[in-house]
Amino acid sequence: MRVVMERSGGLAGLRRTSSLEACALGPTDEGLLREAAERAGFFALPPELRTSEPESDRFSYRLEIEDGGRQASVRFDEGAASEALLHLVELVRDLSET
Amino acid sequence: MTHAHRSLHAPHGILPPHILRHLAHHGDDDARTVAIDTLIATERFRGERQAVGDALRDVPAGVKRRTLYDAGHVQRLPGKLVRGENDPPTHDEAVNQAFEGLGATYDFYEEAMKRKSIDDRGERLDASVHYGRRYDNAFWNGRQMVFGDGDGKLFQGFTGCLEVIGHELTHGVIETEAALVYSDQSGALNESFADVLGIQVKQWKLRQRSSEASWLLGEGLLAKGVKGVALRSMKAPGTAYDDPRLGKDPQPATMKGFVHTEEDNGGVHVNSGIPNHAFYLAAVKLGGYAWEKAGPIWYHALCNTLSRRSDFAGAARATMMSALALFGASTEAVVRAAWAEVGVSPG
Repeated sequence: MRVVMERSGGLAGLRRTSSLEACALGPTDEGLLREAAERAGFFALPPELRTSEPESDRFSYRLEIEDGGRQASVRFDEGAASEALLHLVELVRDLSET
Repeated sequence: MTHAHRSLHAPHGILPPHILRHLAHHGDDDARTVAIDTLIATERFRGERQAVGDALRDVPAGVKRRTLYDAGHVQRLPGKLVRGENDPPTHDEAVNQAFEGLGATYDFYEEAMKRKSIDDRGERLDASVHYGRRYDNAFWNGRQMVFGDGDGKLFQGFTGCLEVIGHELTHGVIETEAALVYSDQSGALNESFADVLGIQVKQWKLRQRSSEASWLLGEGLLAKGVKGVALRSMKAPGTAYDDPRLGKDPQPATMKGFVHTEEDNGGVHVNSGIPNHAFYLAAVKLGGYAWEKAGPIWYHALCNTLSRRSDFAGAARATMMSALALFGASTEAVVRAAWAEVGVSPG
């Protein structure tokens, strides 16, 4: 499994990149990520999820996941994301910081 | 199983949407039909619920009416109601800080700009605190304010910063007035007007003269150990922070440093440094309190002249026209000089 997440925007306008490799993840964390990706229906999402107009001070993301032959890269506005996708974002951030 | 009204009970949460979507894509014909009907019904149900909520929220209060919610560390709004306008302070500092910040912003607009709340009709002010886990942001979503607690490593809680609250609520004002499109130069102006009015909320509350104010946006927001003083400096754009984790403040002060980028909606938080600095220069040159002259000029331009696609040159023209209309030719000259110093010609 390989995960790359880029975030831009927000009140601070900062760009942050998080990345995770299978070798650095334990089986438990990898399982959590896989479950969160499934809940978000990540591999079935369209390549872009946008709000009708950009929303001030919200985050924008590019999230790319490769897992067991499946691969998807999705660009999305925070305001257009489901709660499950936002949970996946939080999990990637948490795991990349540990 | 082809009955059009059969449902998989998604509106009540029995089957989660991702399973419904999977069935809609991969199920047999009957399962697909029911799954698609259910997804449509779910969306309709959500739409109706949203419409009911919107109808309730859209009633202008006509007076200052703040309502605070606790999002409980999830990313779902608004959360649990925790404080209304006439309620005493709670034991939660974030709730009380947000409550006070909303109040100060409302009072600033009413007293200094003669404006009644965000929509000038007395729109009620709703806000949610404790949004998400370690969420390092605050935003206005078109209906309410939302505050994260910060991650504790780079950012502290966002409710403690009055100019941030003023900035976010001003996005609502901008939406009601010029409705500057949130990308490229009009987006950088959108950000800049939010900073310009947000910083005045703080200066007005603290009774600070332009010459003695810090002109820092997000002062005290950075966590201990971060090398920086704020998110942005209107006095000296590009100097607010320089930290190994955050990088260096990328804001330019003049058009020579204008950044061409596709990120951040065309660098709206970066290039806003240019009009921000123009406002700072005008305010300091005009002297006294920012909300006495420079502030009303910028606010007048926002409400009367600027439009969705205005650019920096358009903002220079608009503020010069407002300066002339409100205070006369000598003030117009000060505003023209401020824009010239940051490299913007009114054209």
